[in-house]
Amino acid sequence: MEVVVRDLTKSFGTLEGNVNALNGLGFHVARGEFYTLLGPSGCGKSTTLRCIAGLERADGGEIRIGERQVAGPDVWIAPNERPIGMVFQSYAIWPHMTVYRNVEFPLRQSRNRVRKSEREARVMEALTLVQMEELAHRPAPFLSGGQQQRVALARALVSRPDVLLLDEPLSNLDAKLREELRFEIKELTRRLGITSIYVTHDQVEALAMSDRIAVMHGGRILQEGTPKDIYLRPRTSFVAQFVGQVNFFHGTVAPGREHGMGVIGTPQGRLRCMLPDGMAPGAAALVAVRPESLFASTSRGDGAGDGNMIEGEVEKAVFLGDMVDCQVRVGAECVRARTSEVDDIAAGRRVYLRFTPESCVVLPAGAEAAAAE
Amino acid sequence: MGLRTLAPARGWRPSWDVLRHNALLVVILGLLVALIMIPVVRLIINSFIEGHPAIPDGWTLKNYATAFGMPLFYEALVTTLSLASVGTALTVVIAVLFAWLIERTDMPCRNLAWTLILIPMAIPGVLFALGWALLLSPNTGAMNVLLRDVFGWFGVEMTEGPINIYSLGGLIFLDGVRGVTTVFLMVVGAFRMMDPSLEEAARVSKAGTVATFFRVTLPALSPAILAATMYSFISSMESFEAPLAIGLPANIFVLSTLIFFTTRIQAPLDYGLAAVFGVSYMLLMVFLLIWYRRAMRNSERFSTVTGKGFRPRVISIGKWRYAALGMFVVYFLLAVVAPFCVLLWTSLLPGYRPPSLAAMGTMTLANYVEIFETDRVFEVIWNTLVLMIVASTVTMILAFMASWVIVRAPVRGRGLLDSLMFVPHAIPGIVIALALIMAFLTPPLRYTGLYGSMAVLVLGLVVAYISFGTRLMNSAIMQIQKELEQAAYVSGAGTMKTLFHITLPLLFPAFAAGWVWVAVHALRAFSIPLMLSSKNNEVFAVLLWEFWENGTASLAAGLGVLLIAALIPLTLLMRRFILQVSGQQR
Repeated sequence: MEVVVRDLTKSFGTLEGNVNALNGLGFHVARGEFYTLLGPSGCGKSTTLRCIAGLERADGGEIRIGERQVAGPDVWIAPNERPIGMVFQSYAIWPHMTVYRNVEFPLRQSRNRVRKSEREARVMEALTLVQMEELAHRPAPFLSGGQQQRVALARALVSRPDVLLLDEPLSNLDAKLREELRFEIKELTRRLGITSIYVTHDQVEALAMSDRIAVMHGGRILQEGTPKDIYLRPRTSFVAQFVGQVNFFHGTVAPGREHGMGVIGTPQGRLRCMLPDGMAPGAAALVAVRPESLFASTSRGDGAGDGNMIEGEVEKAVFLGDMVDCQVRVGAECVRARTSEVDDIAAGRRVYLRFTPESCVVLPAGAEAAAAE
Repeated sequence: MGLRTLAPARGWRPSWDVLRHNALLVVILGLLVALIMIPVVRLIINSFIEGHPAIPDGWTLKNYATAFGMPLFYEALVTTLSLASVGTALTVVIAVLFAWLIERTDMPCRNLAWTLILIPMAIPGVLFALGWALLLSPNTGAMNVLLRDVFGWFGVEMTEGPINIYSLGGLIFLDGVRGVTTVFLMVVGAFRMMDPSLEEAARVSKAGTVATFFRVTLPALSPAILAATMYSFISSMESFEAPLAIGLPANIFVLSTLIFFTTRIQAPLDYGLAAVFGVSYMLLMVFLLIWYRRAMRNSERFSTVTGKGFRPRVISIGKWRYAALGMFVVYFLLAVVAPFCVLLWTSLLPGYRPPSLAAMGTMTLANYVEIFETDRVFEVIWNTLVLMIVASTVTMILAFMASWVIVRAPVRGRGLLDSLMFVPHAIPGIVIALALIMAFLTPPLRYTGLYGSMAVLVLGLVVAYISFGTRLMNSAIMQIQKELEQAAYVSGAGTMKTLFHITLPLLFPAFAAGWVWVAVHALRAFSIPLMLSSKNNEVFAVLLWEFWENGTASLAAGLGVLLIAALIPLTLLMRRFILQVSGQQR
């Protein structure tokens, strides 16, 4: 079932007066899609999800699940009437029940009760999905965090909802378990073909799991797209920074461009990059390059060639096994880069950083200010 | 969210939905508001009406004129205040001393003392007073006879006394000893949780045990002690049993007995006047409680009790240990053993006589036989059980639902509900009963025909204990993670289903603790059942008082012994439950 959110607004009264948590937010999740709301804490992503669940009510706007409007002016469907399943950050497994009772609850207590004869099969089916069928009769307090999260998932899925809502479900787990469950959840939702909306502040999770990501900030969506889009073609410096590490070079567009390729003059040197349309010579621009696109080398080699090269001095080098993560002082800026020349890089060495024009993303300087308006 | 959200800016719409979809919740809350407000409003209205509530004679200010022109009213007010203040001072000194001795020193038998100090809770106030009436009545009081014998050996001959319990001093003594358990329980936790490094710092600064106690320990604990003192003062202001059993025969009135006298004893009865007393009494208590709440809020800011699990240091008090134990033994004799033994003794005699060998020869179980041969006794036992079970169940369910709305529901005006639930706490039991009498004697509640029924009695106790229940449920619900309830909503359960399948089971320990607390109090309740009693709704405590009033002290004593026997296990059960709850919260 598709989910449509339109013009959602909400404000909270705080000690400093009203604060807008949501600012005319809108998006469209296609049937069967895994859609992620990604952003720092306080960006409104959880509020959005809770509005879809019906646990909070927006001040304005509209939410549709499939053909049905569940929230809008003069329309309000209570959470227990919405075709949703939800997994909470704290799991919210009821401690006074067994695993089985927890999962059975939606089938017993909702308005469209499932017949007793059918119930057991449904519960066991859901528990099998999350590989918890062995522990069906264990009391909830005797579960580990990972097991609780699986039960929570089974409980959210047992009533065969049209939409699955996940509110930072992995953030309370340790790193290894997190990685494991990340793939499990992704695999499960794909197999079931269920529309999923996932909220997280962890960009790795978002990139790994999503069909599409919406990066949120200040109660609005800054950019929406596939994980590749978001990572490789961020449209604002905030997005670029939030979904991974990035180096910025401030400069102005130099005259002349061919086949979309142009030159930006920066304090670190002239950088060749793909210029977006509408970037006139003289305009202020920001060049974003990810550290993994910057190759550090101690030899100058053939110079820049077709690509770009800047020169600096290593300030810090951290050995990561297969590579070295280094901070390089280039003029006034500190640039992060990676290299596989594990032996040669050390603090104080002079290095040359090479990167291709294709790895540069040119952003109009001041785009951030425009987006935040 | 990084922001501290105080309240949704436009929070009323969803809340309206919560209520619209839960007609039952709305109805119950409405009843609750009515239950509290109708009697209070009725009491105020009737203070302006002449004549019997059922046959009013029209509006008047005469009641106020009479009341405020009556020396007895001022006398009762002064007696109430002086009884409460001197009695409380006595209580607090004893209780704080015992809390320190039992919790922090090497007094012998400390663990036993910890349990024994709870036993007074199992002795209803009316029995405590009657026991002491038997012990210290000027002529035949068992203890007076004993004292006279002792004085006789020294050549001092007396025909009565030396102590007369029927005096203000007697009342103060009873009130002071009576309150010790409650105050002990309120301060003992603070003694346990207090950071011992405060005391250790004093000791290394060369302060002795006594100096440390007075200069460091007491001041550090003063917020807890102050809270217990004020609480004890307020309870003493409401005391009724001892003033009735001891004060009335000596013509000593306090506000509560003045109301009882005006509506149940004097001829002709004057409800209008009683209503004025009730309103004044209620206002006085409201001011005291507001003062108490404000002081509590301030004292929390200076709290030295951090709640960390410290291992308190045991202080050695040397040979004073035995003096301390002696003091405790004396207290326990006075608070429990003596009154209980005299009741037991009396219950085994055909009629009360001071203890002697001759009297011992007449010992018999005839009183117990007679009690169970009294026609009404099984009805009375049945009524008592019904009252206990129904009142505690209704109180706790209403408290649970009200607390849920106060803590959870996004409803405007829940702060108001919170305050409303606090109101009954400010109304003395006797005034609750008076207000209910008036409410059920006048329209619209008159048409229910419930006046004088068990139902009114249940209502009276529900009103009396709902504040306690709500406070307990408030903190219990706050401990339950919101997401546990929200998970039920998104699982398709409505509000009521969530309340009874998720929230209530989760806070069941607290619910059970509250239930037992109310049951124990209902079983020994006296002022409300006595005020509201009719031949249809008599309970144990009322029957007991009737026996006493009719001069059959032996029967009253027998009934009292049975009541105490029932209360001791219940009290210990309550303690276990409450320990469990507080253990969970830790």
